[in-house]
Amino acid sequence: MQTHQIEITNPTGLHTRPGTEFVRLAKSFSSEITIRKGDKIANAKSLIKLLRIGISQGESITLECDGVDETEAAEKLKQYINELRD
Amino acid sequence: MFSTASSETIFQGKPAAPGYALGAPVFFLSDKKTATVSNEPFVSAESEIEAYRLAVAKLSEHFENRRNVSTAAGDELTAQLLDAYGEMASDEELEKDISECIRTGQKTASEATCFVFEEIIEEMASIEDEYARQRADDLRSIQVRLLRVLSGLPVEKTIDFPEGGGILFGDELTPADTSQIPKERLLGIVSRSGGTTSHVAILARNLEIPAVVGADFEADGTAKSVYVDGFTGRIVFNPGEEIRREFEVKSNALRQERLKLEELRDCPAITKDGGRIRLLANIGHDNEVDLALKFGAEGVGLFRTEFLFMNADRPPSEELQFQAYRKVLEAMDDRPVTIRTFDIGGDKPLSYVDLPQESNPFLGLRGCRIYRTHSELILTQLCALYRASVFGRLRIMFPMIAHSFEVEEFLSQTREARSQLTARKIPFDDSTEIGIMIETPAAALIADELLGQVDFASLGTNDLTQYTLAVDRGNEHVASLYDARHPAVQRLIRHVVQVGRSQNKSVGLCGELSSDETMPSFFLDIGIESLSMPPSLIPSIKKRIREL
Repeated sequence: MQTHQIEITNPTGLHTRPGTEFVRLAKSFSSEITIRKGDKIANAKSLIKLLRIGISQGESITLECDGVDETEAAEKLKQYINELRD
Repeated sequence: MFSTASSETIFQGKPAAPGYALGAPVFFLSDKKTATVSNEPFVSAESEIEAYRLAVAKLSEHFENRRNVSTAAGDELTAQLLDAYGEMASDEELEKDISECIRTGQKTASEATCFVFEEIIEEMASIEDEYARQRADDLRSIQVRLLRVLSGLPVEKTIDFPEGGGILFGDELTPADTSQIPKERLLGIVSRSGGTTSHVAILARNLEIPAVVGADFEADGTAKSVYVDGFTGRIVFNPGEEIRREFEVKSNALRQERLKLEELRDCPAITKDGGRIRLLANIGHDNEVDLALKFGAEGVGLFRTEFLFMNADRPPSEELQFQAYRKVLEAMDDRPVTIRTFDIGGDKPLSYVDLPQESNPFLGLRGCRIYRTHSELILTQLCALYRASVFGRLRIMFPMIAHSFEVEEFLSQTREARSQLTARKIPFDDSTEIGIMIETPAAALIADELLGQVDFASLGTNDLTQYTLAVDRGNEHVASLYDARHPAVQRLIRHVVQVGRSQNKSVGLCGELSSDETMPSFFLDIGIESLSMPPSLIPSIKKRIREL
């Protein structure tokens, strides 16, 4: 399993628009992908779950990828978040 | 038709986008009958789940078609939201929950959709956050559409919009609703729900049409016309002659004002005999840089950075800060941007900064006094600032100085930040100017000494007034004694500006006094270089100066 700490730096966080893209990217991998924020946990392939835990600027999340393509999934998803600007 | 002179009915909502509109009302209310559960009997869990999946597929296709229409019309905002709708409708966790509900509760697809969505919507709607509440509205509009499909109805009711244009009235207007309307026909929007940052408000501001939200109107199907005031939130059905005249006058005046504002934006603040003051913007968030540009600021005179430090349980990282500073510097291009290092004190406690309880925080540990005890915080901020310095014209300013040695200590911290970046092989602009806030009488009186150590100064007149007059403006018992135009304050301002001129250092002013319409002649008289104020106040001060 791949585990990464990621800090959200873009102003709008992982809200609707970036969240949609993120979920679509996550769905392109077969690994199980979850996001933890504090004691909350969400399936990264569910936009509704992500919106329910609410991920905003300045927060830190843990990305967990588990499966055959976990390395690539973790790398791509991390890169996606780090490149968010809006 | 026999028309008894229909009488005016007035409703009040919250203003969400400025402007005036007069036109035919078009009601688009979510018809509760179409959103109720279909009364088909339960067949089997498998067939109900299958029915749900088919409905989702149909809805997803519908959102995708709609999105393509929006993209083709150049409406990216709506297109992105429709994308999100498609994603939410086909959400895999949602499907799991609904299947589970169908199986264990022996419920129909329609009943399960109603139940599961209701739970999520209730949770989102109860969060004290405008953003979460909007998502609740979005989920509601997806739920209504799924239930319609499950009942064999078309995905959505169509909105018949008159060719001559009209004003849209709805309960919970979502992008899915408004995307059907040709934008040139939309004169204004009124919605029963929604906040001032809702989709409706943003759409209206983009189109420069009025919007009123949270309006508890009664749908009057017989009304031929309606007047909407996006400044006050007033809605008048069947407006009489008087209101129609009011509309003519006000909408003409607004058009003129918008034109004038646009003309004024690119003019300098210069008096008839050539006196010139640069007008700059005060901003408290990187997002506000758009306002600075919109109102024609010649630079940012004060970018407060406290927002980065508040509402978090840890200090902001260098990266997070760097992004915010860079955004503002890039947006302002070659105009100067003065960023003030954090001014945090005992009146605004932070969980990660250990500060003592003080009986008088305004005379306690705040501003640069904290930099001595929490050097890691200021060093991180300075590194982020210098990293951003290559993206525009940065000036770094630090708050709350009373002693010359405080300036010396800060300067040594800036040297430390620069040498850290050099060691990390990160480029920065070596000529970045460093300046001070003058907000204590002590700093004003020894301005000659302090300005000798730095490149510029800015008068923070709110604190300067408070400290000079010994009046806490937040204390109602003495607030009436607070007066930024007090002669003592004016003498301190005059003194600092004179020192600046004699040393050839730039001196500006960034307190509330800068936007006092009675002050420009005083400022011109003493020869102050710049005034920094909230962006929206720049045009009226500029107008005032150009009249002098």
